[in-house]
Amino acid sequence: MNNFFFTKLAVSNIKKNSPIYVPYIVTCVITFAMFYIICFLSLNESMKDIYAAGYAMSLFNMGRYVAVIFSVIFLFYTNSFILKRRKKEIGLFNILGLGKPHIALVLFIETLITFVTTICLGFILGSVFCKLIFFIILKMLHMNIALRYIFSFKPLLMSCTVFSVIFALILIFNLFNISVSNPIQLLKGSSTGEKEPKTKLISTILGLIFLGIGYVFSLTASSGLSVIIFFFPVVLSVVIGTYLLFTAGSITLLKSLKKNKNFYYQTKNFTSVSGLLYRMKQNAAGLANICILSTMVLFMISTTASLYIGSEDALHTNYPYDISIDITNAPFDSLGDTASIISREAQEDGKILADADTLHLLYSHSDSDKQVISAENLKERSFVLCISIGDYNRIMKKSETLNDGEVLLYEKHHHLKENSFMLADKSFSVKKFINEYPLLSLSTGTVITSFYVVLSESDFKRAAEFSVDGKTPSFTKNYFAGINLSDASPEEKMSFSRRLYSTLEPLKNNGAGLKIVARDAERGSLYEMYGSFLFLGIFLGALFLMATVLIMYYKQITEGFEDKDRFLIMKKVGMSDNEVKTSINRQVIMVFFLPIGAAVVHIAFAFRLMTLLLEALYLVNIGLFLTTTIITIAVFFGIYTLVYIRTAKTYYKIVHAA
Amino acid sequence: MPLLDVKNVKKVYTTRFGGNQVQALSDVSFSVEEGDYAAIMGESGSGKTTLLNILASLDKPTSGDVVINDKSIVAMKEKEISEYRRTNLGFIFQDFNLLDTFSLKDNIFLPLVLAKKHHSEMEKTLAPIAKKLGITDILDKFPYEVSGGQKQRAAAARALITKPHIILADEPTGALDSHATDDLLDLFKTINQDGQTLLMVTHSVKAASRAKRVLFIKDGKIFHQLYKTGTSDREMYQKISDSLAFLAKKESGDE
Repeated sequence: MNNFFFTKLAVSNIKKNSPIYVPYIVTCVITFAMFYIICFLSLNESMKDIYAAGYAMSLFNMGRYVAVIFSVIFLFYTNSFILKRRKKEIGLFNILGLGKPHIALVLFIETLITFVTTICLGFILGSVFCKLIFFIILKMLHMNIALRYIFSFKPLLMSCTVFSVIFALILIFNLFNISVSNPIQLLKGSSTGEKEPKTKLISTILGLIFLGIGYVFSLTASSGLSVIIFFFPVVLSVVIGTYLLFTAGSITLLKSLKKNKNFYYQTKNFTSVSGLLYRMKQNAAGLANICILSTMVLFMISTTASLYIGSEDALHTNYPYDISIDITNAPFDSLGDTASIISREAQEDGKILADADTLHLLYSHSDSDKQVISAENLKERSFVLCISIGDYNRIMKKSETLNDGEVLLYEKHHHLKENSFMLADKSFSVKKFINEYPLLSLSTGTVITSFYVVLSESDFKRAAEFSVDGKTPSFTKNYFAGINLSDASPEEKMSFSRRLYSTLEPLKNNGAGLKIVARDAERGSLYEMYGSFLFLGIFLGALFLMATVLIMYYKQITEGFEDKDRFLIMKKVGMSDNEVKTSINRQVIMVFFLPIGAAVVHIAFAFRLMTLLLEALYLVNIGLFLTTTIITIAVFFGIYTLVYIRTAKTYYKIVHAA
Repeated sequence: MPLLDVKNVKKVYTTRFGGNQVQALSDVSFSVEEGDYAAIMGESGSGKTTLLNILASLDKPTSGDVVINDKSIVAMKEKEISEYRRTNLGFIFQDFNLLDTFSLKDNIFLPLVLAKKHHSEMEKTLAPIAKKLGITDILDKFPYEVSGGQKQRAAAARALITKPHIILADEPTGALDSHATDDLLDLFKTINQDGQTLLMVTHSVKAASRAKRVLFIKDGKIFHQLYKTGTSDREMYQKISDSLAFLAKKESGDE
């Protein structure tokens, strides 16, 4: 026996096991290619120059870490399927006289072949797609830079290192697994009798509670802030609930169905219920995994795609004017002529002002030691924004009147249960709740409970001077001017904003803050951020989808081998081919579509939570988000169904081979 | 008229990749009367299993006919066959063929569930059978929880519960120890005395010696037949052994 013999044996092993080995190699190749791509995007020196801001780079770096963790878990998972199926074969080799060291050598050669194939094919695939993706990314991030695709060694080296470690770990795991079992155990493989699962009522109830907590939270969350704070606990609670319900809940349900004799002892239910009971016992965790992976894919792709599609919306929401001028902490009296300065500058620069709105704002973040607003039922941290009735009427083109002590109030989430509250040192009553508020979009990004107040002129002046501690004013004064220019190119708008800045800069000498932003100057970084969000969403989504599909495929194949004998018996006892087929169909469809069904339910419940999150990222177009989510689900479902059809075919082939 | 009539059955297998033909059964004819208890004996590769599969309508003969209770099962369509198999035939296998996902009771109920019987009726039918087979106490257990003999008795209950015309048993004692074998053979005798027709394929001289008659199959043909009438189990055992020895001698003489 020389080494050549072992190589031949290893090659023939891979060939013989091609139905399970080919998908494994394909998985490895694709995982490697995708990892190479993300390395390329985050490590290639030449890429660094093209990112305008750091968003893309840091997001891709994060993506790389996720990809490493994911590759390890996923490749281990698929490997364990193969190991389980191959134990019998390895046991036979052992009995036929191949010692454990020889088997180790064969396995080593097999792993080496797989590794080399993975790297070669993965690199080719990765490089081809890299060019394509490089181009797509430039497009997605709206970068008009000539394509310069430069190969660099660093990403390749990184990918090879990571994968050689993963493959080494898998080999060690396999060798350990085989060395601790004797040939008889290996021969028997997984065919030991399975006990009927027991009803786990407590786990089921716990599962319902955990899921309930998550669902109730996402249905009742009132502000983006609470979503951000509780996002991970809620996700964790839903994940735990999902696992418990898949593992314990499904069995409790099936057991109770089994107890209902009129239901159970019916031809179409009899074999399905008991078959599913065992299937769930073995696969519940795997199905829960698939459910969670699917939910993640749907969540990531629908939110990132909405953000990206809604970029222009978000840009306009965030910057309602071509140029926004923000002056903070300057006494309002000193700003009287700012509007005329702006129009004079426009005239000198040859620009025509289409709109020029100015607004005096007072705002404050209220918290425990700086109570600016107080009312019953108001416990959360809150944000208060005040304007005067004069500004309100001018901008909204209304003619409301207010007496002292009266306010108009805009409040989105209706936290205020009564019609009166304390603002600063004075009690106010709400004259009217209003549905519109000037420049509301400016504070959309605020994630905490917000009150938008319109005060009478004298109350506004008083509030401006109000101070809780008697030293510093409690409200921040803000003067806002927004202008639109007609017939100006983005470049002209940007240069005018720079011109305005240098004109108004002396204001800063008095300790005021000055911020002038041209909307067009922000477009680049916004697109870079949302573009790289979307790319990462699709990238990880594709990775997870591949995982979902492969786990499902392996699961069905493995079960096909086990079910083969079962269905043969049923045929002998008098089940027709048709009945066998129907029974198989019922079970396969259940197992296949349960996780994705649960994922869709998760997404439906999370929808509100997701809109709150997106709102914090300046996306307020719920219609757009809903459409994107539905399309995402439809596409995902389509791909999933294709895999189902493919898998069901293979499954029938195995079962019918009897 | 016989209950089962096998007429000139021939079975030729063609290997998958081309012309190699293997003749499993060349020309088999025999009949089984109602209330009969027949054993078919033969060496491995003699065509026993092929014959049983054809009788069980799991396989079709190349030529010839099998008539059970006046109906040819060869001409039947697939859909009819499974229904027919369920109501007219009962099966007992060497490896029990119990489903590990079902309790013994549900295993026994399987054919009745397929026949769309109500579960109260199933319970009623099962009670006397379970009592006769001595498995009343273990009905709620699962196959992996009971012994081989108990499994085979459960399988027998499953075969009996549909009140079939014939029970076909394929090496029923093959996986049992001698004690369980004796129990099962006693059981077969009892149910045969109750009027149940039995056809058993076996290797075991001991099992065959308890049947009313024994058919010897060799090279795809019925070679010889022994009737038990009047002889004791011991004498029958001796006769069968002699016949087998004769068959073996004949074979070595041929070469």
